Amino acid sequence: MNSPLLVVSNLHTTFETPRGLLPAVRGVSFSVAENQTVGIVGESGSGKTVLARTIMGLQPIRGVKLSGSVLLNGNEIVNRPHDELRHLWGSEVAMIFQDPMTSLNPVRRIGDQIAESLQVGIGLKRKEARARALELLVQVGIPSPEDRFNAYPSQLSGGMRQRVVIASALSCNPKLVLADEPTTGLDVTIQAQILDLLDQLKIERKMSTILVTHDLGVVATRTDHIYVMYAGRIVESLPTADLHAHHRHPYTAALLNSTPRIENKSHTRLTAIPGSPPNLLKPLTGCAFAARCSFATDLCRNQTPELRNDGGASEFACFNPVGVNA
Amino acid sequence: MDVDNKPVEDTAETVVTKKLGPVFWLCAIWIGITVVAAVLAPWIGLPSPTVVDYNHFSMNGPMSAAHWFGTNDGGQDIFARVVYGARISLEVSFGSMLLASLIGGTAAIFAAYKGGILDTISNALMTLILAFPAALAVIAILSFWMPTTPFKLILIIGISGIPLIFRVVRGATLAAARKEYVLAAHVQGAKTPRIIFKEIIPAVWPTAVAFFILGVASVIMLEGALAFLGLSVQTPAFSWGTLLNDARQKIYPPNQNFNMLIWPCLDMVLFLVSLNFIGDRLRSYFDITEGKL
Repeated sequence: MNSPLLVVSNLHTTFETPRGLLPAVRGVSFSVAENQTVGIVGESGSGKTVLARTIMGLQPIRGVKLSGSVLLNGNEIVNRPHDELRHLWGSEVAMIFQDPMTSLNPVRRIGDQIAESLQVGIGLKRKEARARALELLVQVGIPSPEDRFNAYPSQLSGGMRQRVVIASALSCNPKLVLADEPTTGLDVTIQAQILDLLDQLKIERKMSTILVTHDLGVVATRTDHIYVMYAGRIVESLPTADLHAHHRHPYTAALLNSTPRIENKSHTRLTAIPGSPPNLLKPLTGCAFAARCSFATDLCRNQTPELRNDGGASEFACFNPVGVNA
Repeated sequence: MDVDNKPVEDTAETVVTKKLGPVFWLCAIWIGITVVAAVLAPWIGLPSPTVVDYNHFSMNGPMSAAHWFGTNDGGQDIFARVVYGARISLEVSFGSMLLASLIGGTAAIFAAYKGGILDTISNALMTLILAFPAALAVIAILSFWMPTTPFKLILIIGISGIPLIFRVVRGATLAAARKEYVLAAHVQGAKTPRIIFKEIIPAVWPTAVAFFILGVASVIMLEGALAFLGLSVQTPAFSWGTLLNDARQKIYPPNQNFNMLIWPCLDMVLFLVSLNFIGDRLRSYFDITEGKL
């Protein structure tokens, strides 16, 4: 494997809110190799979207403290003004947003929106950009793209719109694509289509992908490596193949437990994780998951576990890891 | 949630065209006729609105084929005066709203999009100015800056309208700038001018246009009120407002000329109703569109 495309090390993102400092990302390190697909999983409020936006360099200058480093193909992202990052956006890294209803401008034709990102990003002439945009619409599987080119977003269905968003994000051949909950606003069959499309494009274009989601089902089959986030930290890092059999962190276990299974009898109650994530405005001591964890001991409540490896494939931040095949 | 269970073929063809309604178009036609007539007034064969004719038979004449709305106490054709009077009223109302929109709107878009201290200060300043009644300020300034000319009216009313436009456009800009598609354009490398022209202005435009039209209507009324106080344009120039102010004194004997009052009044009221209707209709029309998207 080549040197990693993206290296995130000890990244902290802290918001200055009127009620105090809110550490949304608390020391995250990971890397993404070329052609690798990485999944970042966590529930709402675990900091995964903040992490994605920090990697993009999208955090505002005011009101946010950043430390650590994000190296994208050798370029430092953290604490750089937007003007210096602009040349990376589009051609090095692109982002696919969660909601295709709001990430397209409702009053502009979709073809023009895609063509514009080509004009801005790689300086194509208007005519070339339009031709290229049409090709992109074909690539993302929009039927009769010539007609759709002049359509407004409101004339397309949610799935079609997300395809347009993908076309626009991929227009300048980014090396890394950050997809922040790309399928959350879509129904299940369309989710599968969109994820298949992303897979296919990723192979065709040799991109690396970061898939940010709350849905283990989405990442379980489509990624190479999974990072599980909880309260702003990575609590477990493991190859996707080992997710079911070899996970070690009780939180991962609890997440897997709360996924519906086909073999469950109908009307089986879904197992939920008791409690809710900690309030990050208050200082945390010990493991953030301790209050909700059935394996928690006094050690967990007093000391923060670091990511460690005990010989298996998984790295986990836990004093009392669940056994193999738990 | 948009569920994608329809055959794909259906979606692009079902273009929803919303109707503005026949009344909207009637109003638009009326506004069009009034504006065109006012602009072309010298070339459409109207009798002179200013030449005084003190011939006994010409004064306070009844409605006739030669004088559709009759003649006034100076023997002048009232129809011609109504058409010509619209010129200054329209000039002042459109001119001042254009001035206010250009300055207030541009400032608002930049302040709201850039945010930070610039936005805070300019917004506080505008709020401060808004706290002082604009009509009162206009009256005060005009009474110290006689004689009134259309240019002075445009300048003073236009400047006094800046804070209102600023607030409306600022609100619309803030709403538009929060949209994910603006962020999406940003991360695709679009710079600030492009984002403002391609993403923000198209979103702010409908609100601004609707507000502009309603603003024109209220400036016409304000001009009428100024004329009533004798603060609008001075004879021989005349506007709808001054026509009404003249007529007010002529409905008593010996003149007792009701044509002088009724016709300018009717024209002005119809024009204002049309403007207000169109402004309101556009506002709700665009609001619904925005809600649906």
